[in-house]
Amino acid sequence: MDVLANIQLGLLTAATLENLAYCFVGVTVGMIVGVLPGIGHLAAISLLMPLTFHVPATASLVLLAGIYYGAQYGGSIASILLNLPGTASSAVACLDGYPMAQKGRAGAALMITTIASFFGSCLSIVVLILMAPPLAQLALAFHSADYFSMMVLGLVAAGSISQGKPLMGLASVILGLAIGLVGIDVNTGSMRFTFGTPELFEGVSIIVIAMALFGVVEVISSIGRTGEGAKVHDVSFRSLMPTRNELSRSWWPMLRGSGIGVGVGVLPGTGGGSMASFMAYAVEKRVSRTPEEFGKGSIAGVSAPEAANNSAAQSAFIPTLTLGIPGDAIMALMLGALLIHGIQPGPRVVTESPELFWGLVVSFLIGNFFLLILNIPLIRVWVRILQIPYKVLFPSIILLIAVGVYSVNRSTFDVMLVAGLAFVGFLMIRIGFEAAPLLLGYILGPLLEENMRRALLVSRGDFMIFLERPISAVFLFFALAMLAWVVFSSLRTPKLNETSSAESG
Amino acid sequence: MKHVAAVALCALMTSAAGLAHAQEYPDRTVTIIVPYAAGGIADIAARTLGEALSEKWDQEVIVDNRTGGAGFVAATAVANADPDGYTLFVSDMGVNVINPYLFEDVPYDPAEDFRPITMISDTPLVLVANSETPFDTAAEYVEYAKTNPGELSFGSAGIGSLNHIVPEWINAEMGLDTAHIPYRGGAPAATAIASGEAEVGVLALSSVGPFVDSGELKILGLAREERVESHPDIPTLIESGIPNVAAGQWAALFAPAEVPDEIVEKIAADSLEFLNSEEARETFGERGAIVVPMESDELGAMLDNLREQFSTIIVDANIRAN
Repeated sequence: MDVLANIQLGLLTAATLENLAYCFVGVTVGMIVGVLPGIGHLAAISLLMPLTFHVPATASLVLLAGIYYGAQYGGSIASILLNLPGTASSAVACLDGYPMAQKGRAGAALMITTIASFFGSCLSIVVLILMAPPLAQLALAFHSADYFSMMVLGLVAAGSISQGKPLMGLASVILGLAIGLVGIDVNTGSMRFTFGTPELFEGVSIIVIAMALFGVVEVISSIGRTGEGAKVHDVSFRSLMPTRNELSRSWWPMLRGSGIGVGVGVLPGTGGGSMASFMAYAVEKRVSRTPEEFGKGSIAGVSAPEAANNSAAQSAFIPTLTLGIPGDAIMALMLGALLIHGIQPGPRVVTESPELFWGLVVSFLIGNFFLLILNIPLIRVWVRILQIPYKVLFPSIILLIAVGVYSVNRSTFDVMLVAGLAFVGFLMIRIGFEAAPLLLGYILGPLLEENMRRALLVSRGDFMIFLERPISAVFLFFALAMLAWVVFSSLRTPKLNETSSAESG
Repeated sequence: MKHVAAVALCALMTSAAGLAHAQEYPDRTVTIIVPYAAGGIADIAARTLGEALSEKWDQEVIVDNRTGGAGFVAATAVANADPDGYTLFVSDMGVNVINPYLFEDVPYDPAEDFRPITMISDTPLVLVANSETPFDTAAEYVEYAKTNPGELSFGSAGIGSLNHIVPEWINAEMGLDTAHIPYRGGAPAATAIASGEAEVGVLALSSVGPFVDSGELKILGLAREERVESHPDIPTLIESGIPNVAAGQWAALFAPAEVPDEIVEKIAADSLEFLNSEEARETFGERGAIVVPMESDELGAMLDNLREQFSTIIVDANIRAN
């Protein structure tokens, strides 16, 4: 068996003492930077990359990759406990994780996240082992028109992320789209809304938006509630465990989430984990029999996106290693690390450096076990964070956010931007705008626009390109079907809608 | 007489002080600012050279990636840094030649604010095409584009990138009409050409390797004065009848303009000693680049030349940002 021989080779490489140590260090560092709000894995990886020049290529990749997927585990912890996304992709975990924590189920939410993360990663690794090369070809089948149509489907599916009034949800998405416009327009090179500030040439950073709208706004909103410090009194192991019911309601969401994660992860340029977790959340809310629970602490709203962003983190390595196409800035760093070691990424990596490729893949498995073992006992420690009095906790959070945001680009401008956006964001959220749809608009908007205009450049202005390309046509068909279904079901059950909007309003 | 002696003494003292200054340099950490993210061409050049200098000087040499703002952020930081030789700059065509012709308002002047020290490396650019296109050489490409004006598209790493300007340059030299499709960076552009969304492109030789191996891309020619040692079978575009078109994605070392001569000379001498070594040739070769040691004067002359050339190309092709 080819696969078995490969796994054996991978095990032999990954299980050396040296590589095990690098893997452990990597995932631990990753988890820590993931937990700390704002201090992204990008900053951590770029800081540590130079240190890996003098260790063997495999070890250095094992370490850097460990930071990357380790951060996906840690990212959701602050989201759930404090409504503070540790990484941009875990902003979705705020939506239902934080309400769960407020209901006193923080431990269960964290446990489910850990399980979902592990599950999503492992599924993705299995896919990676069995079919990396053919999956990688998928990236080459996608043209700009197809990406555009996929984003349209994403946007339609995500319409359901809004929890309040639909009109305010729409307004939030559009506001997000507008913020996404800031920066150099890729298609013409013109500057939009940069006001001559070089810090804005590359747009407003996603970290800035996530920190401002989730983290700081939450802190400001909580200022009035100084009295009710600790929400969790019971940190016994039993209370941390999800109930049988919670567990059984998580399996399908995890499976669907992982599938979405793999699909989004292998496509370069789709925004990586953030996109995957948003899509997974939207799908869960659509298929759920109890959609009204979403946003109020639904377990499916935690497990699906968590599984999705972890499986996307693993499958993002497929195009990076096998085609040499980096999906995002972090994957570009990984490619740089390979190049520094004189390894040309591409189809030859698998055949010419099999010990690197399979060693790395097996190290993913080992790393995920480390994370599982590391996380479960730590949950009790994390939950205790909630017992810290607000007067100590809030200033520390603000300090951490400031440090974290600064660390990304070492730009004081970004820190001021967080302050400004948070202030405006607080007022807007007070009058009914929502952070999640805004963030989604911000992520999808630029991708939609860029791909649409590029597709039209390629077709010399012919809109039929979106229907002539089969992949694109299929996505558009699904988007249309979904829209029709929404309209149809809202016509058929007007009563249900009224009650649910009354509840949330 | 007394006066002359005093002047002579002064001159002696200053030169001695200068000498002492240069001998002492560096007595603390040296920072090399790079306008791009870690792992890119300029970054790899800076790190490789930085490591060698660090060993030679027995001082730390740090690479500081100040990304963003089309290189404005990094360039202004260097231009405003203390001219003491402890802040250096590894930069490329985009920041040191192209930007002023591309943007209306550039907060630094590459010709005035920086002092060239040495060229470090050069990553050759190649004209590539999707393997299903009906041409196999640069000459056939020109022929095809001439008979089918407006049909072909070329992908680039963005407006004003070298990958955008060089194909426009080919168009200008040969009177071709091809459409520009910009992507977010070189890797997505290479992917797009491999997937057939764009037919051709001018990309870094080091970045097209995987797609050439897998048979999705073919190399038509090299945008360089002469062939490269590592790929002697790739003909240059000039050989194929496209005159003048030669530009590489080089990385060079600069200092703020006011850094004293002695220090610049010391850095240049020490850098050249490493860059001329067999070790440097191998290290850069492994990392997909060619090491190009070049004296400061020669680099300065080359930059003047490039500025003249590119100002015309960019204006003629009407390439503009903002």
